[in-house]
Amino acid sequence: MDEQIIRSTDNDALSCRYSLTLNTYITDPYLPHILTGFQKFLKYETTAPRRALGALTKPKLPVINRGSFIRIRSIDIIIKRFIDQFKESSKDGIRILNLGAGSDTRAFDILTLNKEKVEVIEVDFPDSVKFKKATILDNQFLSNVIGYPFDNEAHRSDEKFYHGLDHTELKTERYRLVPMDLRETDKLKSFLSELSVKPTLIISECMLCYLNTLESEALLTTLHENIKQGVLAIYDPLGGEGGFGHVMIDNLRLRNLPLTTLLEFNTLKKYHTRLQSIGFNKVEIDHMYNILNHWLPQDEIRRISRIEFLDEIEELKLLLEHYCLSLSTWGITFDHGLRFNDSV
Amino acid sequence: MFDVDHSISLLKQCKQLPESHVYEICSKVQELLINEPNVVSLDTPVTICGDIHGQLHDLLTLFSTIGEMPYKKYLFLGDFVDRGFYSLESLLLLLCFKIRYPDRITLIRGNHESRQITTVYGFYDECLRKYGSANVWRYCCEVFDYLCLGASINGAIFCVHGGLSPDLLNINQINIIDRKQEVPHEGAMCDLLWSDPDDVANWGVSPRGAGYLFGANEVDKFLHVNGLSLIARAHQLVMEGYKELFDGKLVTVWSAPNYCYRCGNVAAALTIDDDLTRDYTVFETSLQDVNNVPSKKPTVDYFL
Repeated sequence: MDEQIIRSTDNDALSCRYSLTLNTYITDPYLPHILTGFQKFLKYETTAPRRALGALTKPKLPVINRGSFIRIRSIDIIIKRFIDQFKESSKDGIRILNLGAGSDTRAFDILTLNKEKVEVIEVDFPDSVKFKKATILDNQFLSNVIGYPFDNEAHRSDEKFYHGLDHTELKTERYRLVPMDLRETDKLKSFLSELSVKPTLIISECMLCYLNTLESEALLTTLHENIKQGVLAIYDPLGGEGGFGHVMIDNLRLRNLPLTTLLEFNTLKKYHTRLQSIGFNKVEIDHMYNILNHWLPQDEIRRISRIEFLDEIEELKLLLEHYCLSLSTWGITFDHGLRFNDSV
Repeated sequence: MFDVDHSISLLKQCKQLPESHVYEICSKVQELLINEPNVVSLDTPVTICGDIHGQLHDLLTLFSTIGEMPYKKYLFLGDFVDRGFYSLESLLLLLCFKIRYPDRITLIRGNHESRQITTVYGFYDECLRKYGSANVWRYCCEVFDYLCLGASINGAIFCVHGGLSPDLLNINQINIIDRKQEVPHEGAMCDLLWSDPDDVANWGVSPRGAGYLFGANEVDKFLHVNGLSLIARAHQLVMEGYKELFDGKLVTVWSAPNYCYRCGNVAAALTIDDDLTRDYTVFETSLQDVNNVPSKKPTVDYFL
């Protein structure tokens, strides 16, 4: 699939995150800096998806806000429990590897909260990496967060600054922003083989669904074979068995975004089997409606229920039942204490 | 010159009416609605329809599937607007039918027939986009305030958008509500428009943030006190178009197929015959592809 089309989905994720901050579902002190980067540099990025900044800040419906909230929150919970369990117990510290991270702000939060023993690596297409690199290097706050020396005099004009940047990796002691097309398995393999062995949490947040069956299988196999101590958290849509999946495919075809595996791994059971057949022995999975109801403390559920009137609970349920979160663990034991679907 | 038949034919073609005609439609409908009690009495046969949500093409499919007025009699349970692409045309078409055939169509208020909700869920934006000002939205909201709150069919079936309220045991209590106002955030009027049946003993907290969850016991009590056999309501998406609960004492009817152009559900309408038998008509969306929606960019959101 076209790289630019896949990259356009990062704008959707970013606009959902923005809407959550606007409606006080979450606070994200890093997001305004990311948006500043968009305002400054989008116009110089010729390969960027041609969507106006206005689309990024378009208000979202409550049903989308609640779904985005549990998507972000569930992965944040996994990250926190992973850090809590392994940061101190692992002599060499831990690593968080975010695949197709795009404009995600989690890395900044993790690095701010953990001054040592936690390394964050973000991987994305070279053009996305360059864009995020520009945003970070242009911003004193973000540069400080990742531990990169900020050079106030580095550039006079945004345009010259942007065009002067290359597509190479941005690397500090605790943070790496790595340009790579994850479909190029050989490159991924050699990259992973150079990493030291330590507990590694891999995040694949709405990324695998854009690969076809062969590409996703190759990616998963490469991760499994080249990381010794891993937890793989995958958030993906599920086609389901009713009309929802077919309608989703029709609707997203209008954006030229084919979801070739949506109806192939369309149930929790089939998604689970897919991961097991790669070789992951311990796989846990559930859909997001259960996770919304099982993972959050009661007072948090009450708080988010009061933010906006939700006009249609059945719609939220239907939507969230068509997204799943799975955890595959190998080489370590992750005592997360989180409830998954035990009937799968 | 405003001519209701001409307006109906324009609306069926999804064409925009002049602002002055919208004003005229809204004023005329208000004059009709002001005379209706909070709970309207209806006779069989009548066809009960659930949420429409601006899906004009599907509303037209409903009429062509079940039959046109005046040959058929209709009761719409509210939620005419929001979410779909053609809230205004759908609402105005129903209002024009009300003017043309006042005894053949009854419109009940849904929770979306409210100023607050329509500013969040699309109807306000749609009016603003189509007319460049909020006037049309304001005329429509005036009409909303006059819509009745429920209907009683042959004195045996109670029809409402949402459900029951802990503040109401008797239908007569509904008739003393002063309904001509914006939907309040709590109380009997709010509950009628917002509540849902659920597997609770009596009453439960609604996850929607308004109204209550009510259980089989409360349905039994309400039916008994009022000498009824059925509660017919809408308000909740049902993938199969309709769903009977509590041993058939309550039914949810949903009339927006492929809701929000995303859900992949079918829709239904419920015809009550003279002997009170229930005849469900299930229909599918006429818009298989949002691409076919003229002059509109699809705004169907997913988590990507």
